[in-house]
Amino acid sequence: MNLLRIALQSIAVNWVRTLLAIIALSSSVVGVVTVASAAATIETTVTHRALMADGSPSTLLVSGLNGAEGLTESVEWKAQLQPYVGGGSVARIAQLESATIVSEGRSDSVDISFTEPELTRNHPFEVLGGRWLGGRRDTVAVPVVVNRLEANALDLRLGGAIELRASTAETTLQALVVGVVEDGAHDQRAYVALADADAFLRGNQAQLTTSLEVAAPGLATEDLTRRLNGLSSLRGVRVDWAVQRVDTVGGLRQEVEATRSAFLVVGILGLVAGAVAVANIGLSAVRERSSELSLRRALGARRWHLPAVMVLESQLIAVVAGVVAIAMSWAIYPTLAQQFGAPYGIAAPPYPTAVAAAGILVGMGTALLGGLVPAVHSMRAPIASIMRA
Amino acid sequence: MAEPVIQLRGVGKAVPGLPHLLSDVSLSVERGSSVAIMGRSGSGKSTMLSVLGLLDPDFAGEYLLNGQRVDRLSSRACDRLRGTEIGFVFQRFALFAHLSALENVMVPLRHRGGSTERAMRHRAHAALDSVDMGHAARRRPRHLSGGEQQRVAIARALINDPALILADEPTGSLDADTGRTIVSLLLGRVAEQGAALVVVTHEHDVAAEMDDLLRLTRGTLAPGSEVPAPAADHRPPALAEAGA
Repeated sequence: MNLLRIALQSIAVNWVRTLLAIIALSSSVVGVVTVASAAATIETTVTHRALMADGSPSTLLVSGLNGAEGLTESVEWKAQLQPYVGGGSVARIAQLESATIVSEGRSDSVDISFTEPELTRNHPFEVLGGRWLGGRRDTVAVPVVVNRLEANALDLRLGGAIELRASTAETTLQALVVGVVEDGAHDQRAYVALADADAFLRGNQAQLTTSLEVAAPGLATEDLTRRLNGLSSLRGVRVDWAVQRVDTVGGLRQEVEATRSAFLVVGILGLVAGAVAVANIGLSAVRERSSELSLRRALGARRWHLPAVMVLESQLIAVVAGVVAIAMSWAIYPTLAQQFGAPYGIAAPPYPTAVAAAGILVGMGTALLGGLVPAVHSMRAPIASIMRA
Repeated sequence: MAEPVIQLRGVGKAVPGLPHLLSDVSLSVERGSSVAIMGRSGSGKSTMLSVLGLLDPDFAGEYLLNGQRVDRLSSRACDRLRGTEIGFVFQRFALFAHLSALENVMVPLRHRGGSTERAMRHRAHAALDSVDMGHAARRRPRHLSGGEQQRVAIARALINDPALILADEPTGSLDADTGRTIVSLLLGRVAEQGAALVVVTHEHDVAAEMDDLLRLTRGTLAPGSEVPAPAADHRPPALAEAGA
């Protein structure tokens, strides 16, 4: 307790040195926390986007079902695959070669997925407004969900009436915008409940292709191909189906890992710089305080008291620097999160309190490392010099 | 006869390439008595105080403090003895500028440990009162006169009830009147506590106040202003008792 008091007195009187050490240390810790926060934000954002756009890990797409018969056949395929994937999901997705959304005289070529409400089991879309597909229909118009890009392109409003047209324009579909989602896609997209568009799709069957998105943990392309080859109850329709992996989460995580490592190196370099700065300030202090240290020895300080006081000082400074660093990193976190998360329109992860708490410990460790050199140096204070001062 | 607090027998100190800093020094100082050591600059006074204060363990000969051999003690044991048995008074007071008078007096207690904050404060207040500085307990050194600072330094030197007080030019930074007051105070407090006092000084007036006067010349200790003599009956008690 007495040594702590001595350390506090010393910190208070040498306030310039204390301030410099706090600035050096808190800058290092802010750097580490910022880098860790940025890496976490990037990882969260990229992972979320990959999940939304390409599905969860082990997502495979079975394609090759064409025309109206393919659409009909997809129901059978789904029924036979569903038990195979167990708790996984199978969602049908029908698409027209090209389709257009018309709203208030303006039209936009858009990629429309006629699909099933359970698609979100594999794609956790962020609903920005309204609702996702499914639920009760309020009007005769078919419910449509558009992504943010499409909503912006045609200035679509929730509840707004639109018209869906295939390029052949054989039939049209009156629809109502019931939701706007962030789906992580880079292009304009719309989602229509497949069950509500059966007649429309069959009316444009020349352009129609149907796929099944199958997702289950650990699902491999070869396994699913083998399973599809064994399907026995097809109605004799010849299709050239293909299976391909479409999930990107694993690959993106690996890429992010490389980025995280690079960030970590930057953070460590910052810490090293902080430790060197603290050591430098501490060494200067030892030289400056040489007579004080000698006097303390003359007044009864044990040999180990001096390095103990130096280390205590560095740890007290580290705690203050850590608190300052947390306050600073907390203040800049929203900007940081926006910088790294905004391009995908995904909510940023919360402030990483665990990283911040670790930041204080890292700061204390850095201060300890930086403080050890002057502490050891202080043990060599020439005690007899006090008689010649 | 009072028990000697310090006894030096044949103490020497040499540094390679330099003349002997101390040569065959013998000295004995009893409890309650005072000794003045005079000498020119470079005569070895600081070295003498360093040896007596256990600040410099690297010397030859025997040193007994309170009857205990201390010339072969470990650094840790020396630290402990220095904190409890020896008090220092310096020419330039050597107070910590950032601490109040009270906190300055508490420094030896803090390093000694084993007391509560309240007990240390109580003791420091009493020490300041004993040197008539109780009114200035909260003042920092820059707000004290030279004489007041030296009073605080004396309180600090006496706070642990040491057996030996070492004073290095205690009046060197003070005017004559203040110096006399300080010497009087120092002698009074030392007598009251039953400690031994060794004062290094250039001032004859100060030296004259002490029980014994010794002169250090080129590392050799001799009575008064005389040159060292191997057998001199007129030697002061400090030298005669030590067998010098």
